[in-house]
Amino acid sequence: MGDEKILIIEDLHKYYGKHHILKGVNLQVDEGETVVVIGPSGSGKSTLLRCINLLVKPDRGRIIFDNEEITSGKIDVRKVREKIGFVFQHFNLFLHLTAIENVMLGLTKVKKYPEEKARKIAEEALLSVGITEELWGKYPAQLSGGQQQRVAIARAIAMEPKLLLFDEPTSALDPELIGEVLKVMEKLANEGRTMIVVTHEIGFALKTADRVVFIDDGRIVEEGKPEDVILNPRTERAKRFLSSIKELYRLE
Amino acid sequence: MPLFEELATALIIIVRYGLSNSIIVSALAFFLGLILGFFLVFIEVLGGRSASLAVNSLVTILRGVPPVLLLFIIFYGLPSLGVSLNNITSAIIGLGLISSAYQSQILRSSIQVVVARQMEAALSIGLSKWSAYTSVILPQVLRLSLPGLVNEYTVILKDSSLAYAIGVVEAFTQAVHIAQARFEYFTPLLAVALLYFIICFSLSQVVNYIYLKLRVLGYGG
Repeated sequence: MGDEKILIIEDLHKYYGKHHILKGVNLQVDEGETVVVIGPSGSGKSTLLRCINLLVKPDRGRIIFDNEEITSGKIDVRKVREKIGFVFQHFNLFLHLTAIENVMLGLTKVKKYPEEKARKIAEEALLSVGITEELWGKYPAQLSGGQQQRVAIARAIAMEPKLLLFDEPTSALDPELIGEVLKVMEKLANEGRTMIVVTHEIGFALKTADRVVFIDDGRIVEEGKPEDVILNPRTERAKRFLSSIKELYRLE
Repeated sequence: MPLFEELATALIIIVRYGLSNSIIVSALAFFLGLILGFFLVFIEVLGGRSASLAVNSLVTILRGVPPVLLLFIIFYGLPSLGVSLNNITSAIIGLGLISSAYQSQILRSSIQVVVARQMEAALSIGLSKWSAYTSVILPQVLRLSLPGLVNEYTVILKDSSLAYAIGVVEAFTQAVHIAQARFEYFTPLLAVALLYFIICFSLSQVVNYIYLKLRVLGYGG
């Protein structure tokens, strides 16, 4: 670990047609750090994550990941994505493959591991997220949302990424299934993995994050320790957003 | 001869001397349509805007041609341009061309569904676009398209009776021959209708079964 920067984002801009989604985002992430990104929908959080693993091509600015500028033209996009795990809001498991085959695909097709080695790594990854043997042969549609998302996390960590990106990983889940996924994420954070998590789960942020970043209208408006940003936001915009979220939690 | 017996003999003759050509024409036309359909959709999805426009126009044209007209063009018309094909080949090519338009539409709609759901995930683990298509997108597209494709086959099977018009002796032609020999049309036509029905009904059961299987995989349902 230590203070080495694994990710440096400088003045990142993204347009969708006329819409200016990201308006100059600057963000640095240390190795082993867990950064939680909060902000209203449409503020650019998802786009930011997708720019980091180049699923979306930024229009301006630089991203330096693992000491390499990945926004320069000559980079091998696949190599970058291989080193960055992505967990989607809607799990996006491969529906025609079983749980374990989902985890193995990247190992055999991208890392070119032999079948047995891939299977062993996949089994370990699945066990580490609490997916036990009887579920390995099931298809995604036969699993609960919480199980599917944990398989998706296993698929990401099996590739041994240097950075994990979570895009609202619990937003599509039934309330009673959110806990099992957050627990796995907490464990990953405690293992010292580097994570950027877009979420509305401020409880998770308070407990697990090293840093919280508040994004609004394509800009980072506020960032700091979770207690500071979530409990004592300085900006008017963050105050309004957080009070509405806290309101929601109090009602529940 | 009582009706039932006449029906049975007609059916046996049709199955023995006509059905094989119906199957050959329809099956080969189906596979020709599938290959061309994939090709069209490939151009449409991966090519630029003008490629997609060209494919769309071609599909519209093919869908607008009466099958029997296309069979006549190929069998009677092409020889004037120096291309002579026998009647079975003409039927296969004609029906296959028209079917490619429909099959490309079936494939295209499932590709859109699967790509929307799965492409990002496939790329996110570091797969190349090619691997994403071969390991993730296409296997699912085939599964998802299967009911539509089986339905399309039943359409071609029925359309293969149009090959009668260019002299292919398939099931329907055979029924007509029996009728002309016996000076009685009703029973042989009933027999061949029964035959088409049995095949199409069985295939529709297969489609239902596929739908059930697809639901297990989380598509639709």
